[in-house]
Amino acid sequence: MAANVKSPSDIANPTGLANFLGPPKLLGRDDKLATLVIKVDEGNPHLKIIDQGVCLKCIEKPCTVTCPVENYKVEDNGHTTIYWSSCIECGTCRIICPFQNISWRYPSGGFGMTYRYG
Amino acid sequence: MAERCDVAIVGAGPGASIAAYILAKGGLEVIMFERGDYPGSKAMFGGVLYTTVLSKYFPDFPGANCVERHVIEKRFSMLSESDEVALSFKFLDFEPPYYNHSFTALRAIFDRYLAKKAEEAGAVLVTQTVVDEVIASEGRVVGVRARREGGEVLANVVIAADGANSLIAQSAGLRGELPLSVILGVKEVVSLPREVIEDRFSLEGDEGAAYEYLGGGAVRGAMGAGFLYTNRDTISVGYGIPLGALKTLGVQPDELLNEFKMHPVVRRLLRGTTPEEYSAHLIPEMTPHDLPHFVGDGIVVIGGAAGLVNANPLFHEGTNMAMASGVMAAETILQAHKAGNFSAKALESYPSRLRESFAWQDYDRYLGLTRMAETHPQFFNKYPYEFIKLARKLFSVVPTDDGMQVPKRALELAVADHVLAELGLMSLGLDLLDAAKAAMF
Ligand SMILES: Cc1cc2nc3c(=O)[nH]c(=O)nc-3n(C[C@H](O)[C@H](O)[C@H](O)COP(=O)(O)OP(=O)(O)OC[C@H]3O[C@@H](n4cnc5c(N)ncnc54)[C@H](O)[C@@H]3O)c2cc1C
Ligand code: SF4
Ligand code: SF4
Repeated sequence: MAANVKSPSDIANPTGLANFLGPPKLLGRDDKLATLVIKVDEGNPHLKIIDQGVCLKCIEKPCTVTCPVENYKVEDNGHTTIYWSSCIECGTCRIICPFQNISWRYPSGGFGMTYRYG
Repeated sequence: MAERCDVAIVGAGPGASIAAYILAKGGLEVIMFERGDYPGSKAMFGGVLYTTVLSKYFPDFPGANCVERHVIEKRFSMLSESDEVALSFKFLDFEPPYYNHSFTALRAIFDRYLAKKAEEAGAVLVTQTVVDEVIASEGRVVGVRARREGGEVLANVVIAADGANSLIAQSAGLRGELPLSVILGVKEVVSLPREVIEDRFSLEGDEGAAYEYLGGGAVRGAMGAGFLYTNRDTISVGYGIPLGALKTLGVQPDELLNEFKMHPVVRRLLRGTTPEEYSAHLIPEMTPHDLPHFVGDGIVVIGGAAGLVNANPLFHEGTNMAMASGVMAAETILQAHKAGNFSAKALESYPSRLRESFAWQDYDRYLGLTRMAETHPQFFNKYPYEFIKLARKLFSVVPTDDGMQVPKRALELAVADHVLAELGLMSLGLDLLDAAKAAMF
């Protein structure tokens, strides 16, 4: 049989199975965030570092490797910044900070992240 | 003047909604506060919904489009970097409409269904409203303070149904900080046409599959597990890992998810999928020492807020325990209402009934297994790899130089050698004994 002849299963398959054989699509941090609806309460951060002095002395900085959307970054001056507007409200950072140095509350009603699937 | 009601419920998850339904049916004025735009809009789980309790109150749920597929296959698998050894249970003869009371589901859909039932029974649902704390007076809880104009609501009883990260139980002084044993769950819902899902996972119609991936190559040998559940035309894929282990691993959780998705075994099941939604949430896995008090004067704690989950290598249950505790709490409150007494003592029949039910007994029974996993990291970072190596040695088909094949006897001896040299019969025996003890007592 010639190579360019379609097999009967290709023709009969209504979902086009062949279209779904490629590798799974992967998203990086920013694109993962882009799958979510987030309404930002501009000017009202719901997360704050209480004392940068404590962060400076914090050696492990576990907040920087446990937030599921990588919202904690250590700046050149050693200060820790929270990118709170992309928070998905999981609660991890509140527990992981060994010095309870994060003032943490939920975003006000009507703000923050919304799941469509969950 | 602050508003008044009989019962103020914080949260509109499965535990809250079933409690609100029962209380409203019983003639009480109930207000349910939900911080999201709609129930389920801030919620996420694996997820297989266990419907034992649900089906008693809402027997028609299977036809209401609130669940995805009924699970006919449970598969447990151990991964190394490239190989897999798996055990699959297929149960095809459970009867409709509830089958084995295990349905894959999506929370943004299911939670709305259940909250609607509570509303139809007369409960008031207030969305987009965060409750920040309880209002206390003379040592007892008398209401809640919501973050909005005129947000003080007085109630005879408050139900803390606010899930794993329960700030309400904490504000009422019923518990301390959450421990590092709580699990971070990270997941993606990825889309794939339903015919392709059914073909790929060998499913007919609304049948579904639940795959669990233990230790080894799933999450870099850390104490944790990956999962993959089929929905109608999406797949839920993710993993759970205790915060303590995640911290030690030192890898970004979103990257770890991509790694799991690209594991050669998992990748094959996810071909052609497109991510639709990323999500993360805590699972309140903890020892009795860290659990909250389940009642206080004028307050009860249920579901995830009460730490009621059975989360370990074998089981991933919580929704059923949330609904069960919601039922028991609501029935207790109805009695307390008749007696006109809402003290912790008057509410005591809730925790005592809870302790006699599966919701506590399963938590308690599998605690040993979870603790064992914590003290025996080799079950995650060593044995899966070694077990797979053994299987690989035994099932390798090896040619010899003279054009023949290595006899099976030689392969068996190689397996025995490996067990002796790498595992050590003594320590393997002791570990298996520990595991058996943990599973049995
Ligand atoms: C990754 C993961 C996988 C899981 N897999 C499974 C599984 O496969 N099967 C299973 O049975 N269970 C599973 N669970 C456990 C299950 O999700 C929980 O046990 C269950 O959701 C608990 O229900 P709940 O009603 O107590 O609380 P939740 O479902 O957590 O609901 C709490 C509700 O309260 C709202 N809320 C919280 N705080 C406030 C506030 N201050 N003010 C107003 N509203 C508030 C939230 O928005 C939410 O709607 C899983 C959990 C996770 C995280
Ligand atoms: S873990 Fe806490 S103290 Fe340490 S850097 Fe992060 S926020 Fe600062
Ligand atoms: S709550 Fe979760 S998502 Fe938000 S900043 Fe903390 S760790 Fe990140």
